[in-house]
Amino acid sequence: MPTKNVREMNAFERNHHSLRGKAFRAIFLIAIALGVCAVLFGFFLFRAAVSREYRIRTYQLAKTAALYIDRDEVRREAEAVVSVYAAMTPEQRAQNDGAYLARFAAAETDSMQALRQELRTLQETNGAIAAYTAFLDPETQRMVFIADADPKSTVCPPGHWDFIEKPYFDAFLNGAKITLLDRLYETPSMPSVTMDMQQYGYRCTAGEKLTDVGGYPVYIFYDTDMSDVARISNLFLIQFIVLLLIITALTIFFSMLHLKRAVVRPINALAAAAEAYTRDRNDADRDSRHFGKLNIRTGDEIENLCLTMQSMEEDLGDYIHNLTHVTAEKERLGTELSLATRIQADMLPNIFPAFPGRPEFDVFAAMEPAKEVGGDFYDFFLIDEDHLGIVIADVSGKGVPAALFMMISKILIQNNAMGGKSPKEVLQSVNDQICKNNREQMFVTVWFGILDIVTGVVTAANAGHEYPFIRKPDGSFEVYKDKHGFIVGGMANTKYREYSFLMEPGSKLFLYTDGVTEATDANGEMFGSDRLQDALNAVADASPENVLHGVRKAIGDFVQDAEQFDDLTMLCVEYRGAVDETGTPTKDGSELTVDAILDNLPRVQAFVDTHLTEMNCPQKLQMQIDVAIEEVFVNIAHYAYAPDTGTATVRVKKEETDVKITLIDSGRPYDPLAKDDPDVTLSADDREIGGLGIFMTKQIMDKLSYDRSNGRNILTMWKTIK
Amino acid sequence: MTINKTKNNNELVLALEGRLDTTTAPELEADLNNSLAGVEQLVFDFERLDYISSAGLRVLLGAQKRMNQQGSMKVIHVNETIMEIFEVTGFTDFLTIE
Repeated sequence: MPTKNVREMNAFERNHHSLRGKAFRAIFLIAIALGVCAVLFGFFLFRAAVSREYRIRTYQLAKTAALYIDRDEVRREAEAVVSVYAAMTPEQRAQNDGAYLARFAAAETDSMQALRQELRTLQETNGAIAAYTAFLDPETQRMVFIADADPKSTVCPPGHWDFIEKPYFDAFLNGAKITLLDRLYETPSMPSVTMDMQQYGYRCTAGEKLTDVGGYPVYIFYDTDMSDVARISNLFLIQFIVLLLIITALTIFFSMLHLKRAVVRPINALAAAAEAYTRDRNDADRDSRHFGKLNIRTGDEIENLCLTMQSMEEDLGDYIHNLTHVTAEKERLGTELSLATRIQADMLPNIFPAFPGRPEFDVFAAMEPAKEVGGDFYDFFLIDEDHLGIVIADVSGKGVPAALFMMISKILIQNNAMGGKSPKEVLQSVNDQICKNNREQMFVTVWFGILDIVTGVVTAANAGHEYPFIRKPDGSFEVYKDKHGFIVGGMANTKYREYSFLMEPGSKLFLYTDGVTEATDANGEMFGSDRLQDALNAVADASPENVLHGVRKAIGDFVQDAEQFDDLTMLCVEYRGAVDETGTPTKDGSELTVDAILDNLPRVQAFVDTHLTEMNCPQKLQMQIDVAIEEVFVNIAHYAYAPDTGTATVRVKKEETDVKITLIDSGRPYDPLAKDDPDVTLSADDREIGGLGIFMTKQIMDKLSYDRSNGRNILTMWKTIK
Repeated sequence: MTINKTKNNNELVLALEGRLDTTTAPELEADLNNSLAGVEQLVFDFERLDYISSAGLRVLLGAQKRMNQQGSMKVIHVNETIMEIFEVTGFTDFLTIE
């Protein structure tokens, strides 16, 4: 596999990886292999055929000569030579030297000379290079000369012998072995061989047996020259190789030409189209056709590939067209959704500090939607100078529907609260308004409370929302298990219950949605209420902002990288009470000063009631003490400053089993205890209208005392509450 | 405070709900002034009344005085807390409580 992309290669590498290069090498190697085989085979066949022709011709010459030669003459000369040869010991015969040859001097006669002449005539007539008679000594594989046509008669004088290799010797005795070629051309076995002997050169020798003398067969032999054969066959070899090279070159050339037309060019065209397609993919002109323009008619797999690519291009074009539409639509929705997120975020008060001019309390809140837009919300707003409305809510469902529903809920709650309703009335009213038109069956859990900034009393109602956490000054955060009402939006005419608790200066209230307690880590474990409490208490002394940061960090440490599916919304309020310019509280939480007007009566009563609840005062006693408070406060409101107005201060304090309540005004001196009690035994008709208030107060409370000091009327009352 | 009025010939039943205090008493007083004409039997149903102060007692006393002139008056379904108020103020002596 090439390690580089084809685009990164240089020209040489590209060629090396090209089909043409590969085909060229393959064809070249095959041609060379075939050529070598053909040359070897042709050469062998040529040599074999030529040698066969020579053998036949030479043998025919030998046979013809055998017909013409005078056999008696041959026999006579043969006997002369054989008689000398046979008379020698084997050792003497083996010498084949001058002394040995001298023994045959007697055979050198005129008749021998005549035989030589005859042989010479035959040799010259037939174009042979040698003609001679000899006998064979089978025991020692020797060819022993009798007469040779050579006029010099020195090369092969009578008695001279040559050692003949076994196969050739056998060939002269019994005919040559049939070769493959002989078999092919049905050439019969004959005593004719081609030999390359050192002293005679390359020649063909054939012999015809004439007679037997003294047990030795006598032959007439013919030699024909074969030195031309080597020369001609070498010439043949060169011509053959040249021809093969030309054919190979032509084959390669035409193969390349064909390959280029039928394979390389179409594939390159496809590749170019593919590249152009990739390049134009992101261009505006998405309808441009690349494969569609190709016209490949090779009638094979490449044409099929081209057709497939064309239909693929069309399908992809359609697909991209659709995808573009869908993507554009998605982008539009995404833009709108992020706008919605901004609008939603801007709906909630998100500038902190929210009330820089109000040192009596501090509030901080945060919403972190799981999706772009969430269903959670918090809210806080001043209802009037002295009352802060606080909302935390969680709408069912998520996304845009939840966000729309959340906006409606938020607006309805605030509108109803601004109308001066109490928390339970607000929830009832909002519930009825939502239920009127709630086909989608959506609902919202709401915790709504109103903090009296002067007294620290929080009046609240809970419509199916999480329990709040409350922290007393210098204490720890504790869950406040309030009574839940039904969810808002669930059922028309649902009634909600109201409760109140006191936030002494330094108290904190923490509200949250279930996204906080149900934040889940990678193992599926939830953050939970206990961990939340621990996280809160770790930052109990911090400002509301830092309380939220602390809890958020604890949640982050807990869930790590696990994806969150619910919104995280938290709100924290710290009540500081009245403070001076330096932020120091000017009084503790047990005192309330209000304008001495009848409208403030419910606040005074709520203030006292909240303290009494803290002291575990029974409900019935609270009601009675309420009556006493009303009687005294109404007196102050009506008479202390009339016709002007002034303030009244209430203090509540626990003294062992008693509660001590003090009412102070700076109006005209007036001791209510000095007045005589009305006669309660009189009949209705005889009774005065009025004058009952102080009497009732005296009856209800265990002890009263009046003091006038520093221009103030101070009325103190005690009541045992156990 | 809510006032539910039921009139049957010359009998008038007033069912009070909530708190009868300084703030709400004038409302009841005005209501009585308008509707007592011709009434011979006046009934206050306190079943759902949580609270009463001297201002409320004054209105009751006023109503009793008037009904002494033109018929009778009674208070029904008084709870324990309010009964204690009636007792300490001697209202049990002249009110007809059932």
